[in-house]
Amino acid sequence: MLEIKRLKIIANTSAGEYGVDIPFNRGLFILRVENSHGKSTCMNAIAYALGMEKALGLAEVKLPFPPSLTKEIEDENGIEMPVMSSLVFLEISNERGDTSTIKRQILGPAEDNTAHVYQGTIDEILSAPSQKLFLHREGDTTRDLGFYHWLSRFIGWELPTVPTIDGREAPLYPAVFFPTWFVEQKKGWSSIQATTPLFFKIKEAKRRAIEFILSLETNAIVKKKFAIKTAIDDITYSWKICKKNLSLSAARVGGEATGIPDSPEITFDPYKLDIAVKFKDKWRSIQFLKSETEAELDLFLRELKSKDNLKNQHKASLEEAESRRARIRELNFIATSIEADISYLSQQINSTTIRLERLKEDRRKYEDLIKIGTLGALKDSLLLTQSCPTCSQGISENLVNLNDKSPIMSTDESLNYIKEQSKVVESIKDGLDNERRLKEVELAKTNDQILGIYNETLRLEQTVLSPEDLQLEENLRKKINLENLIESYKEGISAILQARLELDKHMKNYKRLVDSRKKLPQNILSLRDSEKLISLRNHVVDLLEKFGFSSFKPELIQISEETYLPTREGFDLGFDTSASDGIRIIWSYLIGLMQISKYYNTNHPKLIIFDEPRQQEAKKVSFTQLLKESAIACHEQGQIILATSEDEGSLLAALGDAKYTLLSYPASDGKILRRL
Amino acid sequence: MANPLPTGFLMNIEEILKNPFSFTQRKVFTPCETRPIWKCSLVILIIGLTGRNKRCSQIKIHTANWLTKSPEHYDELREWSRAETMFPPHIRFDPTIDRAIDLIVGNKYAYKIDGKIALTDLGEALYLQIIANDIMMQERNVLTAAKKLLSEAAIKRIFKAS
Repeated sequence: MLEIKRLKIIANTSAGEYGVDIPFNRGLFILRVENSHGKSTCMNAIAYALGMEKALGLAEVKLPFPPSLTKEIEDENGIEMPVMSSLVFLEISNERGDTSTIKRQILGPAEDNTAHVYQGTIDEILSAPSQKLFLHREGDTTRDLGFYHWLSRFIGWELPTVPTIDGREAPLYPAVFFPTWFVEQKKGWSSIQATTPLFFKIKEAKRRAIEFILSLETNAIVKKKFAIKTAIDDITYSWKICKKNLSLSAARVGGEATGIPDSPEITFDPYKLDIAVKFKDKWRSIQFLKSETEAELDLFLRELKSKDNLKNQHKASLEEAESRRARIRELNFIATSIEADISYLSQQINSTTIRLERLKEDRRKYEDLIKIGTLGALKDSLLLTQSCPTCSQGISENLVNLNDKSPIMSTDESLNYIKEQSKVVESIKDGLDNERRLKEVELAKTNDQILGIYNETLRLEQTVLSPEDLQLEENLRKKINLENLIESYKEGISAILQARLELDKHMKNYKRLVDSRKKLPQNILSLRDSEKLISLRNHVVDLLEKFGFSSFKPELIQISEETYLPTREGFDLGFDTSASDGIRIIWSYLIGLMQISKYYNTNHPKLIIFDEPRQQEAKKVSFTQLLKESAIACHEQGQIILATSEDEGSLLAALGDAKYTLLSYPASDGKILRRL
Repeated sequence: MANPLPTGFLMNIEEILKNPFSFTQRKVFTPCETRPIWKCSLVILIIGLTGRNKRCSQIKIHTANWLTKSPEHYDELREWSRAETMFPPHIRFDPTIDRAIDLIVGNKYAYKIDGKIALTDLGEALYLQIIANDIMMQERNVLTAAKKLLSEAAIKRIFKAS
């Protein structure tokens, strides 16, 4: 709750302080001032003191004040004096009975956009503790030194956060709903909440304002919906990231992720998630390929193992080959010794052959010798008698030693001897020949054996060694390839598992969000909200009837559940109503908003400030009628401040016995900003 | 001893020595080369076949004798004469030749003249008979083949070189 207790405006000039000091009262308070005598200045000063100057529909004007407070002020004699500084004091109180005074500079040397708050009445400000607060800067609604933060706490508002049009969230600035309890003179009467500021970029600011003022739960719902939407957006984003990651993982194994919809779906089955890999012209599941490849590797390893066995066999073969080689060496040794034997035999045979030839030669010679003995030329020769031709002594038959006396074989005996010898030598030679032949056969056999074993060994070694070496590298490569493939499949599968977990989480979150979104009321109004709106409608209709609404039957008026504004058969009232009925509607709607707070818990400050519309825009009769009903409306609680230029007499007549406070500045006194 | 030899099988050495015994020298075989008639016939054949005017120097007779001992000797001599080898053939001197020369000279088949041995008519007759009876064919063939190589000058060259 907020109550205006006192307003004091001061303009410092060289001639002293000028200004106005208005004490307010609860209930209906009518400030009667002549037109252009400072009535709106006072109302705007209240708004200014509350930091609401941006919600007056005067965005293009920096300060909502006439020159009397910003440049020059006329004294009572009509002489203009320059204003050196000007400021406004506003004394306010709340439900708890706290009273504070806001001091804000309009013109002066101190920095702009600050306000001083004193804990006490205007009269006490010199002694009361004060605080300098900032406004119109970031944090003015949220930080401890923010003015709106203080104001909200003072009034008892808990400012909600609302979505902005750029997708963020922002606190609901008090200026946004200010027009629901303050109607500015120039623009405020064109429609309900006409001066709602839009630069805060709050989405559907007017709706949010009504929702807040009526403390509708819709705001919470809207917020929830927004939160859900944001969460869903986040999930969708994460989902897409997840899908992208899985696609990347899939691409690594040359596959494609399947089973992931582009955005989260409730029907999503995480177990359908897979990576399809093209394998031999067929798209197959990575899981399948993994187990298949593993099986292949297993088989391959087993094969290798059996090859190992084979290797052992080969080892045995190698050993065998080695033993064969030993055998070859043995046989070679044997062969060598046979060869030596043969060589010896050959030599022997050669010797016997030579001996035989000698014998043959000797035989020939002896035969020749016998022939010579018969030759006529030797007849009676001493040569045949073996005697010396000189001394006739006998000489030996042996020319080597003619003195040898040993008997020597005769020619015939020699021939016989030679024959015998030849026979013996021949038989020896035959024996040797025979032996040699046998040895040669043995050698040939041994050599054959060696060759056979050698070939066998060679074959053994060849079958064992060469292909193994060639295959070794290939086997290793194949094994590594298979292992790598399995590894990459494993990575793919772990990516699937991860994605599955993640997507499952997202899906569950999504499901939960969708469910909770479903649970939110479709028309976003809770039961209590609807009651409030019905109550509002009743009040509005009631007030309109009393105010003499004439455009159509007030019963036709409904409060839209979409905009919370009065409608007729679902259509806005904009053009259906006359200008004066428009004012009546605004009047009754705003008062209706305040009246709801009698029956329901709302955020209404229970304060409405009307700056009277221009005279030509409203009928005099109905306007005075408005006052009486307004007085009744705020009879028990709340404060309605009306600034009007209405004739004092007619005001008194219209109000009759209603409770009100009238502060009237007679026209004869001139402008209300005067020397204090 | 399981099976003793029958009594009397073993001769008693004293029994052997009791009886008188003698040694007879067996005739010795000697190669035909060493027979005087053979060698003499060879010398006569050499002089007859290779000697100019049926006369030869002693050294030529030795060379020709060496030549008949082995076919390889002929090859050696030929290679030398064709200058196919740097070393002259190693000609062995046979002492039986000198004795054979003495014997044929002593038995008037030859005579020594101007340091050479020349055939007498008897020697020439023996030579002709040897030829006519196809005796010593092998020696004849070799000597006939080597006749040109066995000039006195050629033989001098051989011994000069060695």
